[in-house]
Amino acid sequence: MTNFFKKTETIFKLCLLALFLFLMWAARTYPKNSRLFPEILGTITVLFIVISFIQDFISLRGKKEEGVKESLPEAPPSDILEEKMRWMKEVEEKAEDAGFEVLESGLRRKRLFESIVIILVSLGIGYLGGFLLTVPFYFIAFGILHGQKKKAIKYIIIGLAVTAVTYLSFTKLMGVPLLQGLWWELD
Amino acid sequence: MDIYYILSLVLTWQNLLALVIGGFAGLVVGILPGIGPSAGMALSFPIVMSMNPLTGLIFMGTMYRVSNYGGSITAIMLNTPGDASNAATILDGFPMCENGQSNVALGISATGAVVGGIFGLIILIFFSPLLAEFALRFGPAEYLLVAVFALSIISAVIKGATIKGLISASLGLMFAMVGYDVIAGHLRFTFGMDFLEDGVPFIQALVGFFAISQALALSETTLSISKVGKLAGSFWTGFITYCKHPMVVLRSTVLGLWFGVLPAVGQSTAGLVAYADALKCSKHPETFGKGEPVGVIASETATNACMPGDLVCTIALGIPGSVGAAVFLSIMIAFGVIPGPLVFTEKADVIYGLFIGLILTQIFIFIIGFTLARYLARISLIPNEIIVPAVIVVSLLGSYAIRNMILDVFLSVAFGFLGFIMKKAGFNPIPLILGLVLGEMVERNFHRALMITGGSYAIFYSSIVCKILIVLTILSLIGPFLTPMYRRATQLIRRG
Repeated sequence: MTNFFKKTETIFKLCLLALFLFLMWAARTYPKNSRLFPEILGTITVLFIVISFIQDFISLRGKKEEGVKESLPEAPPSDILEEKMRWMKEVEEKAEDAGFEVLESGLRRKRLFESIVIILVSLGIGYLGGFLLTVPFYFIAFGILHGQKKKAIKYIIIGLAVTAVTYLSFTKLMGVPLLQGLWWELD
Repeated sequence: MDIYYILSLVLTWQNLLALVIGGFAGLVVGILPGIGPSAGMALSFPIVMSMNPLTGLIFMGTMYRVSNYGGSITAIMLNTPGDASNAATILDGFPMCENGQSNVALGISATGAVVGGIFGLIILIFFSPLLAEFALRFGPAEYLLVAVFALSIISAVIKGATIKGLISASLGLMFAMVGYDVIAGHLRFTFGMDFLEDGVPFIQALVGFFAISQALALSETTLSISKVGKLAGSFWTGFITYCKHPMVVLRSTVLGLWFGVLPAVGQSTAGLVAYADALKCSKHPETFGKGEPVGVIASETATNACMPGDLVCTIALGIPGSVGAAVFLSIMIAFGVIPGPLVFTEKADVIYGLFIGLILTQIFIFIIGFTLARYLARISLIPNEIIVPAVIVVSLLGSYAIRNMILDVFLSVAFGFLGFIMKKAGFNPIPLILGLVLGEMVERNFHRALMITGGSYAIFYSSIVCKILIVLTILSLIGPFLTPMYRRATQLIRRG
């Protein structure tokens, strides 16, 4: 069953179902005119989600009846990642230059995890140190973790250059204030 | 209207300089993901206020117009539209870029901007009073159904996942309900968070769903956006490809004009409907979404033809068709050009001067596309470890610059994560964005229609326009299921 019900998709649909039910429940205390539209929309969306689950179930039964559950080599992709991977493999076969590579799913997950950590850490840095610290941090962190460590100096220079150009263009030319950060505000 | 007098007003060095500077500024704000025309115009507002009304409006109009083109460049190169109006360009523009055809896509985009824009402007200069009068006949029920049709058609267009598209659109509509209720003024779904009282901020959501989620997707892979590692084709290949599809251009222009004239529907709907139309009329629908140039031709032509129509509603009725048009409307008022039916006579020199300025802008776009497109195309070859932080930095700067609130940055990041998860789960965020844009209009017209009839729902199917829109909506939803059945039946008949 889990082969057919894609894990990410099913969890996401269940979360959406819970969200819409919660919002409909939260709307119950609003005045009639304020809750009417959210209730109608919520009901329709819950119906859509149920239909979506039924579609998945029918698709599962159809495959079982055809007796292709295990032998099916190319299941229609309901997950964008799968579809993308398949497409990338096709392009790889056609590419004349060895100009790109398909990463293993483990490595992709590692890179994604690192990116999420960088973004979350940068929010903290931005809150405390503002724009001046966040921008170089992004370039150095992504450069060193996702690029080549031996090019660290290059990433530092790019980070500082982008910081300087952005600072000058935003604050001096356009007069747009940039995120200052708690530390500089205290000073 | 004396055309020579208007031309003499427009062709001054101040106006031409304003056009060029406004054009470059528009290109920059359009290319920077998440900044977009509305934020760009808002940022330039203090500079422009010292100019005379015509020069100021030409500066702003050019910035608005060119930023749209800039947005299509990022949609093609980075899968990140500068504005919701470029959403349809992503569907085939970015796959073209991934296939190394970014120069061709940029050529199509520039030609589409010029052809759609000029065609739209010329028609609207002569027919704007008639079109504005026709649009005035639309009541709240019709507006509601147009929005529902737009949401259904985009859901149907998303690769074989109509129900998922509709769920995504519903989520967008639900997000649009956060904040003060449009009718009763009651606070909804803010859960004590003050910064949500004005609703879910649109630009911040756009930044998150497109720029941040795209940066996350890019960070998973190595090298650059162009997966084939080299660029094929040229700007002129794109130009020639564009010229080979006159019927697509014609249909998309008409659709763009039509959706432009309908107030508050906007360019994003025009682009998506034209894309759907091109898909349905194509002999090779299976190539759409994989880098089909016709998809880019349709969306770019319609979007650019829509913009003049959008301005007619903004100018003649005071109803903006998009966020950018809303900012433009406020700038007009600041210059003393008060929108309304009389503006075409009372301020004819400024309005028609603006139209001529916008025609000149189309030429500027083509020159920019021809001279700079090949360099802009190289963005797709920059290594991901450089482009990813650049996209995140610029997007979050844009997100912060609008209200100077760090909470907006957090919100953009949250939407970015949500957008990424949605993509992984097979849900496209484009219907969500359209739902968010149209949400307020949908709810307002829903309540207005019910107020007119004293609570009777009959108003939603009483007029002939409503009936047509309902039929079109149903067809757009069941179309994806009927087409394979029709093909199977045709094949069986052929086999005898």
